[in-house]
Amino acid sequence: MPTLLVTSKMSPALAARVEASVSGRRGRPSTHRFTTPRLMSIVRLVIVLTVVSVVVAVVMVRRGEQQAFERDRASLLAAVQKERAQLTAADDGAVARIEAWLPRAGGAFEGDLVVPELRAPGALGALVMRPIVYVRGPLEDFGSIERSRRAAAASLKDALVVCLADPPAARTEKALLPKVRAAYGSVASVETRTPNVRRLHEAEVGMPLLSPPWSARVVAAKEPKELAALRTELERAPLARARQAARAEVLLVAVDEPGTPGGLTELDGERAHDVRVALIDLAAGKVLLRMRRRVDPTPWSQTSRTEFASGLDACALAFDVRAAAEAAR
Amino acid sequence: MHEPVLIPDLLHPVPQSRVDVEHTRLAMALAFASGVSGGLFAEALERATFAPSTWQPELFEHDLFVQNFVALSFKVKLGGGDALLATTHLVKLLTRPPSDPAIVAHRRGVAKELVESPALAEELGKLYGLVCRFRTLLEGATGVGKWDSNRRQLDILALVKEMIDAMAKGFAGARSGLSRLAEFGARVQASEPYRSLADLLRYDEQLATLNLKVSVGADGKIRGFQLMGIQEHTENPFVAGAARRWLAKLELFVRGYGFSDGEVMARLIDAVYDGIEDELVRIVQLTGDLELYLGALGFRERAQAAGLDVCLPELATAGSPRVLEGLWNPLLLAHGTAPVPCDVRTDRPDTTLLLTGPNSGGKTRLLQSLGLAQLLAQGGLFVPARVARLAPAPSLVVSLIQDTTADQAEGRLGMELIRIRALFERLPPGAMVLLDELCSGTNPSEGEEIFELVIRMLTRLRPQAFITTHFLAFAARLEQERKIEDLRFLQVQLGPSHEPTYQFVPGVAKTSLAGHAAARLGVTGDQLMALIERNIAAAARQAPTG
Repeated sequence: MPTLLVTSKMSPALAARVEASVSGRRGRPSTHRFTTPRLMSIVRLVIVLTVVSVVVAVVMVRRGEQQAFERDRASLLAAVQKERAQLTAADDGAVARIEAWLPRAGGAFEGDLVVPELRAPGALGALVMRPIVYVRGPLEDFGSIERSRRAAAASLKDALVVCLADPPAARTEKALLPKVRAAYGSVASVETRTPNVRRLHEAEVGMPLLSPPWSARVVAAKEPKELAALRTELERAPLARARQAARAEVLLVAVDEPGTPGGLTELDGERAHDVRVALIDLAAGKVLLRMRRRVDPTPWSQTSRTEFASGLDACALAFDVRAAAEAAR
Repeated sequence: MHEPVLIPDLLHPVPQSRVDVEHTRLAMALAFASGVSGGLFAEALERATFAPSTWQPELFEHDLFVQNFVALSFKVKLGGGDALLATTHLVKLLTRPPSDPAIVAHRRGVAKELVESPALAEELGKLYGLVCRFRTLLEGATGVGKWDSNRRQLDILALVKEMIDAMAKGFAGARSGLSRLAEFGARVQASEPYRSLADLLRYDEQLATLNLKVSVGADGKIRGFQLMGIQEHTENPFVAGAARRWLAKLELFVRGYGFSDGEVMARLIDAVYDGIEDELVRIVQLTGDLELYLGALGFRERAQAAGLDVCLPELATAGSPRVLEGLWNPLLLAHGTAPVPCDVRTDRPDTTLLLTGPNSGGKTRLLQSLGLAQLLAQGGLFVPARVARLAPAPSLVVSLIQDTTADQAEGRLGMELIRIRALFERLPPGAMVLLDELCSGTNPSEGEEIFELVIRMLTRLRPQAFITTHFLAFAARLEQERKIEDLRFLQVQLGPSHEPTYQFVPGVAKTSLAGHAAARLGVTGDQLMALIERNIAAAARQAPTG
């Protein structure tokens, strides 16, 4: 077998001996009794083959994982794209447009207002049946977008929403309490009574997932774990409700001003304080209703206050808002 | 057409391969690879074969102290001391003198030329020095050779080249069998393996030549180097480009070897050694030949230093007179005693010579001298005599020592008779026989009868017999009667005061001078009486008093 140790200047006899020396064909005694070159060569070949096999296996596994990862990424992007396909151009900036109203709601109160078109009989009732996005929170949370988002996260469909849609017959405890119980009932029950109302938080949580930056995070993901987290985030996101919230025509804002210092506080935290309520036409960019009303749980019976103080006050507030709108006529 | 010399055999006119080539080649390869093979040369030589010989070493080797003679007399100077010779091989070689006269003549020719040409003798000594260095490096890795196998192997190959060159150059003018060394060296030098060997050694020593310009400052310190040129010896077949050398290392690694320059060199060394290997086996055989001649020269030098002569004897035909002038005993010289040369002449070699004379007169020493001289003469070497003319004998039988063993089945006479029986069982016609004090183990009258019988029977085989005896009256009667034709008589010559002169003259001694010997050794009546009186007095002093 030719060898690189042989040069063209070597005589054929020497070349043959060099080849024999390299190939171990001379049958000469070896000082390495247990490791002949042939055995060593086989051992090295086995080692190399083993290493190559391991490397190939690792590469193939990694490649398979990478392909699965890319498939996962593609499917996730496809899912996002499918959801995005249902959006309109106006939906993309909806959350920002809604949130732009919140600092104003938390600013200096501009006085009660009921636009003329809302003073018509049944106009407020019809308004609250339109697609609404709702947010309620303490006054201090409306100072900035970030804090308002915290308020939005804590803001649920409460008795104010239920009682605006389905107002009580009177501002008595007896009339309010069934509505309040309904508001305190199951989520499904509340949803049934107020299907047109969506929480602002749902839009704030869901809409970013359908935005290009979130898709860019999917594209930029390097680890399956990272992609899995994004998928979980997408799957858990209330996208349909987010879309519904983004497409709301009316923003319902309730701002709880600080209570009077030294007053009585109920077990659920409720106490006498002023609440600003505003209804804003998002499409027209116009405030339709703005008013400040005081809520006070003290008139309610001890038994009801213990469990429903906040609810009774909220439902009473809804009653007061509807009453004020009608009174402005 | 002149046949190329394949074997540098100095012992035979027709070169012979005498070592076990396959066994020796294997042992050398193992030694070359591992550096562990102590005794490789000695073992190969001990297993060597010899030219056909009719001599049987067991018939004389012990009684002639051949082992002692070789060990003490065959010395080869090497460096500051004596070389360690393969004595067993030398003894075997000496005790089996070749039957073929041409072989003897061949050896005599070599010995003669070495004496006549001191330059050749010096070259032979140098060659032996190289062989010894080669043997030392091959048989035992020492120093750096233990750790750097390639260095050791390259050193060995360098010595191989030196030996070949020394043979080719040093013996170019030789006329005797020594010329075979030159022919062998020239043949190897012309062969491809030798050229590859030389190329490899040059490759090892001179891969390239750098031409440097060195700047030296005012303070004598080196300030800098400037490389003026690089000359790579590309004509050398072992030189390859850097990339090729690297790829060769990679190839060796794939083939199961190490990835290093040393591994590449190891493979090249192997290839070169493989080519020259057969010649190296011949050098093992040559070692034994060199030791024989250099040992003989050493024997000659030692003798001359002691004022003694040696010579290459004339090998006469059976009818010529035997002449040994200035014959001396090498064993005496070897043991530090100055031997006294003597002359021995007989009208024919094939006689039975009765030696008589006083005890300690040198009779036994003469027998030893005669035996060793015959041994060396038939081996083609120098004999311990100023002038010698000897007739070759087909065998040598020596009986000088009367050993007594604890388990011997017979008494002294019985053992002697057994010795005589054994002698006749193996004695061919014309053999040389050396017998000391035949039939001394019984009373003289009965012993003389057996003695006469033995002599009569011996003469029928026409031996070259030398027999000592103290049966003086019997010997004198045989001399007077002259009934046995081939019987000759030699006696120790005595000085004016009847002291032995260690010279020998014709005739039969009149006395054994036992009294002289007794007086010399303190066994006279007065001397014994003095000892007895001293012992009695000592016993009386030690006896309890009161």
